[in-house]
Amino acid sequence: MKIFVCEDSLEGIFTGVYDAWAAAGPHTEKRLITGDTWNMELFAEYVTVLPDAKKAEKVIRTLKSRLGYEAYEQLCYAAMSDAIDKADAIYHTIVTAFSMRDSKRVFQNMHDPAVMRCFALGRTVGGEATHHLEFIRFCELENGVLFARCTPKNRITLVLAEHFSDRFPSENFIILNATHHEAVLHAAGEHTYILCDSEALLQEQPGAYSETEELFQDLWKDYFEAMTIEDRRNEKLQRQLFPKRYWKDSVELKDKA
Amino acid sequence: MLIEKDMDLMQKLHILGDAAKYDVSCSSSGVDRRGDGKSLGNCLSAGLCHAFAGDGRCISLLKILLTNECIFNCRYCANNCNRADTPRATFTPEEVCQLTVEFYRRNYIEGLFLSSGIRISPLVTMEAIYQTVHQLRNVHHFYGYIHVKAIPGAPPELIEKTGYLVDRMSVNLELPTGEGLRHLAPNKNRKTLLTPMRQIQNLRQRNDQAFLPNSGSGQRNIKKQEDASLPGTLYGQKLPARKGQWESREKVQGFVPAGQSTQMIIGATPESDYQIMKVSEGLYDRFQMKRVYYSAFCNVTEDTTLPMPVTGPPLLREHRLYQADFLMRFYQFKIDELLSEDKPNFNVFLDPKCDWALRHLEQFPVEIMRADYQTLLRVPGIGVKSAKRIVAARRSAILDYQDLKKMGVVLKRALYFITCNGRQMYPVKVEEDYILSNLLNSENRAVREIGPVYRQLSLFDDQKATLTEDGILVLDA
Ligand code: SF4
Repeated sequence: MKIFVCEDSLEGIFTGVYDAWAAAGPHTEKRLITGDTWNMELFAEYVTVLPDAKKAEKVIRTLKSRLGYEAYEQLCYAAMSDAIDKADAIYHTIVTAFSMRDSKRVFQNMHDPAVMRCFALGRTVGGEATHHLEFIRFCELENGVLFARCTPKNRITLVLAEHFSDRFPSENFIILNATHHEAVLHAAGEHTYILCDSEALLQEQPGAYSETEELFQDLWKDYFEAMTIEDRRNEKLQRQLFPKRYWKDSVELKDKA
Repeated sequence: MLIEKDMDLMQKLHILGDAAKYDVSCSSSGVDRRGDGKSLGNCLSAGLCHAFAGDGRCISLLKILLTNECIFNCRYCANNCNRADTPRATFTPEEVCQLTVEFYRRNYIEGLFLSSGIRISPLVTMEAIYQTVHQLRNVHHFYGYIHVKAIPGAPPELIEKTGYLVDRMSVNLELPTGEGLRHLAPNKNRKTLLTPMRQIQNLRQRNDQAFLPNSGSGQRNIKKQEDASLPGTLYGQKLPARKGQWESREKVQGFVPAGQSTQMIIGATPESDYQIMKVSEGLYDRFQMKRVYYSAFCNVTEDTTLPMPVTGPPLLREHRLYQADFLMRFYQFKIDELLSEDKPNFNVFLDPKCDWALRHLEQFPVEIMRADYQTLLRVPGIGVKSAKRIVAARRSAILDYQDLKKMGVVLKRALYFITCNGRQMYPVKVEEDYILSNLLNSENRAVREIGPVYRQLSLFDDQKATLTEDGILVLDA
């Protein structure tokens, strides 16, 4: 068994796919893992994969054309997961896809355990990402910068970056992913954003609120309360649709979290 | 009328938000619009829900009335002109713009849903709505979702030019029949409600044709001229025409791109489910509605001549209507298959699809490996997604019950109606009473135990709850 140890990032995992594919031996004798916490196995050969933008780029191009954009996106979501077996599931899904006459149908292959696993991981991550697009809240700081803090289980920072830079092109904003210690910084008028390691950011308070920030928070809280039709009150349903773990970073339900 | 002077923004929002909450629609779906790199906002066709209120309803848009002053006297409405002690308020367009933009920047909302009481006249009211969205689009360069009411009785030109600024428009049918309207909304009638609906539909069609390639017109003919000022506008001012107006921008997707919707109040008047659903079917077929909403009647005016059920609003009935609406839109059912003059109401204890299947047992069981897509769709426990997955997966594999489960089939319900490779999951009788009592057992235990049923319905473990793009939870499959 050959075990490829990849960096836990899109680039790291796709480089791992490249190297594993190129290595000698049958695919069943190869495994991909991420990060640095694993149980050493006897009789296994460990190969450290150094992330390589060129290799990752090649893999991504191939995946997009052979598997189609949707399947590729699904794999990216799987790669953002916090599950320890994700890199291996991705690799073996790709192996399965390439063995099929029509690789674009790979996610219909319900009998393949790796495919099923990727499908499930992708769905979970996609669900969490959508929840974050809906539930994260920005506040306005003194200097006009919008700031949001979130604590996702999976590493979905990239999805948030894409969404909010398209949505708020003329704003300066920061999204802090406190779980993974990274942040999106977006400057007004710039069409790009940077992901940065947020250790530095975490040291500092994000700064005081702007003059009107509390007014708008109060307006929103009051409005939110007023929206409930008492005759239909159903807090179980509310919790089911608006999971409690999002409440602490919200404005309207922070006090109940 | 109680009109308070110098109300602050907080008081106004409280009154005008509270007054708007009985409108069901809060959807931000139906239009995909990427950001333009400058303006504030974009739209996702699936829509996003930003919060869920204490009643579990989704909050996607800032849903407010522009004013709750009203010259009409709809009896079910807390803003009707006979209600002397309802506090009244009116937003200025600037206030609405400010709230929308500031809430949007903080990711509280996807956009604005602007409705209004009839202040002074339908014309004045519609003009005020137009001015507000015009300002929001062209002064604040707001690119997010906007849904507004078309005010029945307003001049068609005004409705038309508003339609080029917004994503969705709606006119509420209010009650399923003209008879109901006469009793409860004496200032409204079928004709004045249907006229703007028809207008919106026609303009949308014309617009679609203009967008088709080779339609002859070639150009995207969507540039609208600034109309001559209409007399009697609410705010007096007219915004000067500027370059880069929303109306003339290339990205604009034309007239009401996300389509129109409407809503009916359920249970205030004695119509049967059959009557309601036939009306609904007509609205989808003849007006190309994107959505028809059903709103369980809440007697907010405490009008003793109107129903005041002790068990609260008819939520379970409302839910069955949504399920039937689903069957009609996604499962190709005709209402006449589900209900008839002789059987005009749904069985509240059984979802409409099971109910139908039980009355058509001669069509079951169906064989999973062979039945076509349409037939699979009619099996209780098989939803649109799982039917599609079955059709795709069986091309390359022989499926078993484990696979079906993985594909999202609710076997607890489906097992009476299917065979897989000629085998039943376990031997059951395909017999009405037998299946009925089994199905009811699981569904009814909760119904009996809990009382106001709907509250728990969504938590049944043997059903899939689908959150529609509007944030309405429908038990599907
Ligand atoms: S028109 Fe009727 S429903 Fe609308 S605000 Fe006036 S009274 Fe209420």
